[in-house]
Amino acid sequence: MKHLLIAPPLLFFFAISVIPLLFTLGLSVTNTSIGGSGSFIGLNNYAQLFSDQFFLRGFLNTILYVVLGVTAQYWLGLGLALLVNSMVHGKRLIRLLILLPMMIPPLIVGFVWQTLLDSRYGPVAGLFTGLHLKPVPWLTDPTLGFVSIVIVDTWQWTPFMFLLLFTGLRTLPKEPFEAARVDGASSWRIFWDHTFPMLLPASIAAILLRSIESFKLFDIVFFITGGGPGGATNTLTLLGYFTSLRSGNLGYGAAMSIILLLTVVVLATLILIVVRRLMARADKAGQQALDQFLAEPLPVKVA
Amino acid sequence: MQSKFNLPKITRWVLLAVWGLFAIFPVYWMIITAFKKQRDIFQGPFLFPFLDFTPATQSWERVFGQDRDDILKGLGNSLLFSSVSALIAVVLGAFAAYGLARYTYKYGPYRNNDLSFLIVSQRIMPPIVAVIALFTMFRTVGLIDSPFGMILAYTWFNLPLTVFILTDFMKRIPLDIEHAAAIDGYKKFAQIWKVVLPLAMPGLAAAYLLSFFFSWNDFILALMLTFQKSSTLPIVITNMSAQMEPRWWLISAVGILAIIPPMLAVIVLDRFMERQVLHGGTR
Amino acid sequence: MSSVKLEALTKKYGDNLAISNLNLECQQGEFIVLLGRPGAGKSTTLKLIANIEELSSGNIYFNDQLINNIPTENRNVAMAFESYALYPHWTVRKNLEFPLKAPGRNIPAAEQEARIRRVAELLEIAHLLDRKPSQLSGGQRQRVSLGRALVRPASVTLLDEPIAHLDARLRHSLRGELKQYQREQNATTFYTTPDYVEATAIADKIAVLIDGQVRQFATPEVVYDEPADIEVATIVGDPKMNILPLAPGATRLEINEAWLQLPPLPPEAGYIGIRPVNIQIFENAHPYAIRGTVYVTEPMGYEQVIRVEAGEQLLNIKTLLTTGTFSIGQTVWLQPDWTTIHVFDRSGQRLKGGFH
Repeated sequence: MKHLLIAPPLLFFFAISVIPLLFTLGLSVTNTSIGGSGSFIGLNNYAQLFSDQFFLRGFLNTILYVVLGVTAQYWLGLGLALLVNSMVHGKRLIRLLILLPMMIPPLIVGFVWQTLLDSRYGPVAGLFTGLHLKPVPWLTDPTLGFVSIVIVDTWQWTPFMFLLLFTGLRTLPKEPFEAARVDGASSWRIFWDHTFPMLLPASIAAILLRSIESFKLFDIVFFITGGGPGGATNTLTLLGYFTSLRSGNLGYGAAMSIILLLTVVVLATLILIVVRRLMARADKAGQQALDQFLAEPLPVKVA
Repeated sequence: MQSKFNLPKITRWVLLAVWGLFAIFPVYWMIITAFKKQRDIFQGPFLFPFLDFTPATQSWERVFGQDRDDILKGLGNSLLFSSVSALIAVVLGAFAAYGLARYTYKYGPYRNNDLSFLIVSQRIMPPIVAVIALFTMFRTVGLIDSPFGMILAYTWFNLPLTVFILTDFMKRIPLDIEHAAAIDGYKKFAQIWKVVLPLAMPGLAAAYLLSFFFSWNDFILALMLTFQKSSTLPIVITNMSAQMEPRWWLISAVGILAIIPPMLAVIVLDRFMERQVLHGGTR
Repeated sequence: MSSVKLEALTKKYGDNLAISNLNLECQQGEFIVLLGRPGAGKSTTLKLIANIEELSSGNIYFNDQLINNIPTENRNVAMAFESYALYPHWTVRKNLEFPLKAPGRNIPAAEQEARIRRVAELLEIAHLLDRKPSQLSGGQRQRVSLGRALVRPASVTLLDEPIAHLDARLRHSLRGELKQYQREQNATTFYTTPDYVEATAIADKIAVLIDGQVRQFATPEVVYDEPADIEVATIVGDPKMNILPLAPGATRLEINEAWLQLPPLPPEAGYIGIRPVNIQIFENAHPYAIRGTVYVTEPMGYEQVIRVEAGEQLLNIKTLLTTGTFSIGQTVWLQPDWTTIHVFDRSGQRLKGGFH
């Protein structure tokens, strides 16, 4: 009976995670192409990756997207959570509005932002013209294209951070704040001395979750810039897709995916180690907040 | 309430309004674009219907006319795959979560926590890693572009999440309540059906909603594993845009359609998630 | 409505022995109270009878039939949980209905309704039937939980501290009515409590549980008058019995330069026990009495409990309020009633026979 209960997820785990992972690993040491067979070429694919400018750029981009995007989303989400938390009326409605971007399929997000940022007839260009500024080539300039992706990712996922941090704020105990206020501490001091440290475990868990998702960034880029111009906005997932299925170079694409997986695992582990360290230091209140948060980590009680 | 950040009220409202504008404007833009003619788009940017441009129903005529079958197919497939796979993921996830919460497992060195970790860790794996292999495997067994294949893929994609969310919900249901049902004369299955599942309702609703979201929003799996008959709405929209010049007005209209089901799902399931079902059962 | 026999029950949690070799036998319709301190194994015993906890070893018989392998749902036991364990998603009425509607019970709707009415009135929850548990106070929840156990006929009814969280008035009135109700239903009942007064008021027989074992199983009168050992003696009675160690072969008790002649005792006597009600207290010097100092006084209704420091002993005395007013530090004289003493050997076991 008890074995039956847990059998399906384990079966899925082996059939659709482990076997394909091994399969991909196997592919990555061959030169298999789509529709054709391949032969064993050892670590050649991996060797080639490190001299492939496209790959290196994609690798760097992926990490930068995670670092910049998640950082921006964290601080904005935290600010919003503090703002909304201090409101007395209209919390529910505001919350719903803040969450709206998260509910829109990334594909639609991509299209909408593509038109918004269009340098000829997009409203952002319109705004620049209105202010007598030179319209900016948001999507066709390599650097600006990259910035655009970060902005859009931030637009869509700040709500997620907000949600987790807002939930975290609600679980903090009242007493330290009241005590600090009685002692005459400024809001700023209270935030840095109490709110922020106590929210730290929740913050780190939120950052971890968002980072893991961020590493998979694909659809927004696919629709807004398609990885261009000249690979300037590529991510590893996007490259893997183009290499494997568009160019049909399955072996090489597989090697890219494996590197992506390794990167995610290494960075996730690093973040986890940091989490453990900080958790060991965090006081009991923070610990409880984390427990509570981990008990309900996802946007379940809001809307 | 705990940590009031004492900025002046007006500052707070201004900051919120700035974010609100940033968050809402793209949605507004999408909605008005759906009522523009091609000409209005390329002469734009026009922001205000009736002032800048005359709303047109061109896009909606396409949606309910010429493109109706494609859109209906995409919408139907998306709805079918998302709702069915979410249901399967929640049911299987609930069973596994119940097992992990209530029984002790030991498979070689693997105990309950290791098993949970194995299952949940799949979420860390970028889909691209599996999807190349899945593509080959699905092609070999003829699951490419099939509804069954897509439901299978989405169930795989969501199962770690539902197990993760539900294990905790199951753990929070006091064991005594289940025992009470046994005492009252009900067998294990009835205990789970009549007592455990209703008490896990907020978790089930949340897990279903998230699974539905993720499948509904998925692009990469559908992109790789379907090409025609089983195309989901995102793929259908992509195909529309791929044809020469993008018809923003049409894509925006379909975009509006694409937001409606997840919104409805939120509104319907929100009631179940808010409920504090466990309150009052025990001391 | 079964007789119950528990034979050498043992329950281990890892290396911890919660219940060790517990034996108990009762007749159909008897009201048994398991009396013991927290952690003595009272709840565990009930859970073993219900098969909520799995036996480590031992046998359980209902009506002389071995039921070790019968699952909980088929044992036909009713139980009120110490944690209440109400179904929070249902109204009180549905909570009470649930055991009546279980598969195989086939209780006609009219009888279901009558039974619900009856317990709801008994427990004073008739006005709460349409509420959910979250809308009830703790005491109300406990009564619903009790109601769910009483509402249906059962082979054995298990009540785990079922009135512990009610207010004093209800606790008092319910004791009597509960016993009356169970007698009427001819229901075999196991009831746990740490409160000896409650146990005495309600039990046909009391089983005193200490360290997972039944130390004594007898009527309330016998348990009170002839406690099996010192531990039982100190659990049964409030305030607890005074236990005085004896020097080997002692014939008199010396305290504060006074001495009291003891009745003739057998040589193996190690301790004597005197209940607080069996010591007289005097404000003035009294012949055949020992001197002591009042340590603390505690009025309890029309009675009072006075703790007196006498030599190295701290003695409990329970007397009527009208006996006098005593203040802390006051010197008093105590006179035990030797006809009521209990004598225990060095290992704490009761020595049988009269000693006066």
